[in-house]
Amino acid sequence: MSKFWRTVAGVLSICLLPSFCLVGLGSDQPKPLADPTPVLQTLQQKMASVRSFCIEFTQERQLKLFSESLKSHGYLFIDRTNQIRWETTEPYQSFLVANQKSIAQYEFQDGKWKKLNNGFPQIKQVMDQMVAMHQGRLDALKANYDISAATNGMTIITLVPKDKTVREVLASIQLRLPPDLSSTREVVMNEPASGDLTRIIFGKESRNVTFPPGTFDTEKPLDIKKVLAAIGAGK
Amino acid sequence: MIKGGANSHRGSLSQIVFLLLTLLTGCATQKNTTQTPVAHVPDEGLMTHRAILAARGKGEFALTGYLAVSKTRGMRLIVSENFGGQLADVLIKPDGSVHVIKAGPMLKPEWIRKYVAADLKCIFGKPEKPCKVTVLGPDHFEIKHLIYRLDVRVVSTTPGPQPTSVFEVTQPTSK
Repeated sequence: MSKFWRTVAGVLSICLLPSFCLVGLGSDQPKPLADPTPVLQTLQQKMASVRSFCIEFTQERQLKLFSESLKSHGYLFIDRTNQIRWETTEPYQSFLVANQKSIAQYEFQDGKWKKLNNGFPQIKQVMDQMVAMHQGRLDALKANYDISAATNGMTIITLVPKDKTVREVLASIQLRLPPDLSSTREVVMNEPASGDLTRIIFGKESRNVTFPPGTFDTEKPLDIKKVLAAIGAGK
Repeated sequence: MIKGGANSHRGSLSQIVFLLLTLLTGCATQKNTTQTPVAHVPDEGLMTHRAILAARGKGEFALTGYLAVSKTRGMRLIVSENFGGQLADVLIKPDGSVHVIKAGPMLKPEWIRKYVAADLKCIFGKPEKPCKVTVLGPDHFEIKHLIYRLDVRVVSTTPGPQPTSVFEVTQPTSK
């Protein structure tokens, strides 16, 4: 065995000691903060200057039943006027778009976009909450959630639904941010009892971009490729 | 969710007329399924579906389905909404028995048994009685009922055996 592989094996064997790895990789138990207010205020201040976001995301559906998580990818657009577009680009194409007046959902089928009629009534509320989370306006969610914060290598803000009926389908939402609260890295939605969860991991982010007209149009939305090209985020 | 409103009788009547016309005239893309799956289904594997459920008087709902299949162990379908919230979890054993493992807030267990499981058998399994599936493409299917229409697309198929627990009845809510 070469020196290199002996070193690798040595590191791996040390990492088999759980306590070492947990500390070493910064995954130690989160330390709850007695009062989350300072964290929430700092987050809101940090985000107040951000006019708009374009963020790539990977959504992982982790079901205990299946050995592998089920992934989808896409983009999230948000602007300061509370307009939002959540677009899945792989493995299927679908998007939700909401502006101040309306909300719409589109599905790509047989080479063309189809606008869905009505749909889930709670979607607008979910979209509004998503905007508030990304803008650091967690105060706006206090009516519906009990909010707490904890820190380890990351800052973890936990939202627990106050409504018992909601808690039957959603145990909690966790926002994971770096210590400087500069961006939301992950949102984890935990389901009750089963241990199943949906993890949204945010990747490449562009801020203060100017979205072209039509980005948030619910009737004639601009194609995502044109949006990405206009803001310089196209691949 | 799928109850009709005041105009539903008129709507149902027109749909019955349409259905009769369709049956009389025939349709080149419709398949009357009794035995083999209409869809291409691996012996063992995990499929991801995207579906639009158009419920009469209630609108259209985009759904994601995760279907584990095994020729010898059965089928297990989990249906989720946009952000992952689970709407249904149903297991169909090779003998055709249906086990509703979980029902979300939108779908009652009896609806999952009567409609979700039946449609699943129609497209991906062996239906006990003939059912009409319209094949819109190699991986695109449609089933029309009087009270709803289901448009299903297979977006990915990963062949390979799934864990044993997938096909076990763990927390049945009904049999």
